[in-house]
Amino acid sequence: MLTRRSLVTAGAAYALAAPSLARAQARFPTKPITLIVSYAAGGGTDAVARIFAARLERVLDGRVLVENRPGAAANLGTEAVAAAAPDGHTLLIGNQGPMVVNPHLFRRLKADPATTLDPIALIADASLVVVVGPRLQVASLGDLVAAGKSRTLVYGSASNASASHLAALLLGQVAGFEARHVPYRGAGPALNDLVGGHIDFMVTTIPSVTGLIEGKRVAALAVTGTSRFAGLPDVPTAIEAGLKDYTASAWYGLLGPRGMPQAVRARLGQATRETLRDPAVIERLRDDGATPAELEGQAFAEFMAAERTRWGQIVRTANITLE
Amino acid sequence: MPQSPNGSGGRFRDRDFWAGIALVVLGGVALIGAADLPFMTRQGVGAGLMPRIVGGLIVALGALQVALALRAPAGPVGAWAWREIVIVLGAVVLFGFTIRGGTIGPVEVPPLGLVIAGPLAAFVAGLADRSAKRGELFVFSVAISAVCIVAFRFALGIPVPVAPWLIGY
Amino acid sequence: MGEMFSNLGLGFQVALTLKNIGLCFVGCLIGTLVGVLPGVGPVATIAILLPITLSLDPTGALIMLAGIYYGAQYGGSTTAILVNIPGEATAVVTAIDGHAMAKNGQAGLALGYAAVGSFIAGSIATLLIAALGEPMSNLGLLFGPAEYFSLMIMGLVLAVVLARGSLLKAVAMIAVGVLLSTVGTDIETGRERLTFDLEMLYDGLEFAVLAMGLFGFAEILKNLQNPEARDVVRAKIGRLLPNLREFLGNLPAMLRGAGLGSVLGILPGNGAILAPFASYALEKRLSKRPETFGRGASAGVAGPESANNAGAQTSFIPLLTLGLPPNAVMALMVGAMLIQGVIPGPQVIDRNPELFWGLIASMWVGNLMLLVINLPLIGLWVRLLRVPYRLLFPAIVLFCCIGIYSIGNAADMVYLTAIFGLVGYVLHKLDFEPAPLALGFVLGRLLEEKLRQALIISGGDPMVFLGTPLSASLLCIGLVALAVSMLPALRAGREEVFKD
Repeated sequence: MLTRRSLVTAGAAYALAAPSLARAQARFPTKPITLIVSYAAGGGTDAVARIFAARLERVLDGRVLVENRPGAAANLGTEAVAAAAPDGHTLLIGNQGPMVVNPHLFRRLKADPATTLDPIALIADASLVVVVGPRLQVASLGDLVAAGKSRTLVYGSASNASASHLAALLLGQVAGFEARHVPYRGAGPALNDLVGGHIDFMVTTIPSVTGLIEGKRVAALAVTGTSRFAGLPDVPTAIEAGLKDYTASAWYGLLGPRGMPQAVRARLGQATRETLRDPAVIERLRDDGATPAELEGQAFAEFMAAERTRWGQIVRTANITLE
Repeated sequence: MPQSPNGSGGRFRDRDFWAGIALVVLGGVALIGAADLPFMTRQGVGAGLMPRIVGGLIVALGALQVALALRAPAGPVGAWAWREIVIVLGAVVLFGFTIRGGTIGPVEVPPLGLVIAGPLAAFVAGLADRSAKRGELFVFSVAISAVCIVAFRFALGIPVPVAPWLIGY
Repeated sequence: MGEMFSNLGLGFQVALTLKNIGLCFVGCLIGTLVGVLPGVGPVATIAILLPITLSLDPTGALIMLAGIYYGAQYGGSTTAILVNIPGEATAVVTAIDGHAMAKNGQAGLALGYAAVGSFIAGSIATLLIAALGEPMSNLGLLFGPAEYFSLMIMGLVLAVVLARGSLLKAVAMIAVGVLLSTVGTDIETGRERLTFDLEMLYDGLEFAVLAMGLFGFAEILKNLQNPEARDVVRAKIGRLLPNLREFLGNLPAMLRGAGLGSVLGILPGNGAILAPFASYALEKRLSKRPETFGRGASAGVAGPESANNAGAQTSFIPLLTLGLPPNAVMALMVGAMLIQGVIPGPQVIDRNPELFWGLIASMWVGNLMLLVINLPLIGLWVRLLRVPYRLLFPAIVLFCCIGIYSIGNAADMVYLTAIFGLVGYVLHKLDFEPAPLALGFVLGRLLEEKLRQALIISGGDPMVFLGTPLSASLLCIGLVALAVSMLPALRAGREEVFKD
């Protein structure tokens, strides 16, 4: 996350660049912006994109159309944006999957996000939560780890190589136990089996289980972010619960094709910042378990590079492959 | 038991015979395509188990079908509607090719949007019918495309390009 | 019981405000529209409309979105009956006898049975949700991967009953459907399977692509080849609505369908898909004249349509009582509730009783609304068939093209559908039927997924499928049904088995 000072610096840089920006602003956007989502309409990333696009339209005073381009494990969306004209009118909502995990899974990636895309800004960061169902009745993360060391636990995930899968893998790696992974198609069916007592635990997105936690159908042991989540104040972070090296989150960022004019990038970054300050957007993101982020341009690029290295190690250690 | 109307040569025009052949070929393709997928893994079922079992079943059923057809033919396959297939499915391909543009060999088409791709697809498809009247078909194609633009794009908000070269989306 | 009626009373107070009736109507209307348009499903529509619902109160927003959902279920049957294009898996069965009825000049009757059956089933399901919602939600939880796998085996056995002609060909088509369902990235290991390096196949085949190719385009090619047949058919219009005697004759089918649908709708992971197939199989077995099935049997429309609508209705149970979405539309409803500050879960019924009961009451209102919208529309739809075929079919082609394009906003899917159109025509020439293929495709994916999940959980022990009484008895029912359907055929000798 950026500190207040670097935001001020960014602001100063923005003020210096203002004259040229004013001209650019007059020319941008010159036509409707297409915001590409690499998943079919109706998923978590799609929801964030639509919240974001609806407000961005007002800030930019131009149309922002969300377009779903699902396919090839979300790589099609990346390819579509990488191949688009770098004029800022075709943008991508990317999450950690296609942006930093897929390069480790696919040996023949047609468009590597690190070389074909320009990161504009991190939009939101969503913590995950470790939950157990009636099959594994433990009250703390420490007990879960102890159970995991004494027998082989079974955990579900929203899909193979999803944030939910990788975060659970990382949990095992950090805590020193190995569990069996059951991939599902989406968090819903997996949670059904967790509540029904067919699997032991899950690391999943917060909004998918808030109701089940409140209704005491599952128990929340820890959140995976660096701080507690406002909606679940009693649930400790994994660090507080004793796993000092364990953090994981799902994040969403705004990217464009490599080679966009500096002025357009700055305008989009500033518009993103403004959009994310809107109380309605903040509230909607919180409903989705996410917090607005404050990383722009180079800082976002560095964040992505760090994430890529980190998940690369996890993927290699666990020996997950696609293709 | 129906007798082959074409005598002994008829069985090679028999639709049950070819149905069996088609199954054998399809199952065979699946068996070859899934040959390098693991059948079983340490955790249980591998990626190749289902395609190979089902592929094998299809080959077996196909072979049985061929055997049955040789003993009791069902009758000839009959005439193929090649003209209609080419025109109707050609129209569909044309739609895909023009809606947001593309390149095939030396031909490069810009994104034309529904304004062009719609009437084009409907008109070409309509030519498949021998009773088509070109004038009427043309007017109808334009009209039905207009209805589609209103219904899909404006009523339901589906982001299908309308006329990117004219209005930007 | 008294409590249930006071709760429903509260619900109707909420649902019958002018604003909520209006939203329910708008939802049903939009739903009918997207259902009728091939390829545009309720999932995409609700996702697109979600931001708009922000300006509504939670109950109103959910009432409208729910209306879109069951409106689309109903609208899909209309397209299946009129032009033989099942937009969703649940309409495949309706297409079989529904379209056959339309060809016999009974399109109005088929649509009438669908409308009335849906209404009756919807009403029953609504009452069931109100009375038994909470205990029923626990039923869904019993279905772990092993139980689900056994259920799918049972479903595939039922699929054999769908066949009109050769048993061998029907089994082959189911197998081909299962094979096609394995195309794409393997869920467990992430390996590409049978994709032949085509990127558009990486995420597997879309059901809509398969259905529009095999049913829609193939039907057009068939009709173009036989212009005489199609024009004779279209000259006959027939009555629009069933009379009382016909209606009463089909009432048992509707009630059985409603029962099947209500139970199967609760299952996680789209178990409701099985409902119309199970109903069709049941009706065919109970019918005194099973040979009419596939040639325009009214019970083959009334039963499955009732099952379909009841299932659509009860799939709200896991969402409302546990916050667990059983399918993609319900997952979107979770999103809609969250946007509105309502956390879906077991506590909704206590914390937001007006939302809970209001939504349930609105389901009944919505079903009534669908009847009100659709009965007058039947006349219009039937007249649509009067449009000369030389103009009707180019319009269908265009609608399909746009619908398929909108799934992935890419041309690849459109090309793929053209290929399946050719495949569908070849199947027709070789006397294969596409319906068992479609069922095999839908169930095959779940079958393999659940098989593998169950074996991972059990650590590779195949006895897991006999481990619970539920799983074991489902497998037994499947085996018995298989034996019952094979025995008479086997006794009658080989010719009878393979030649109907």
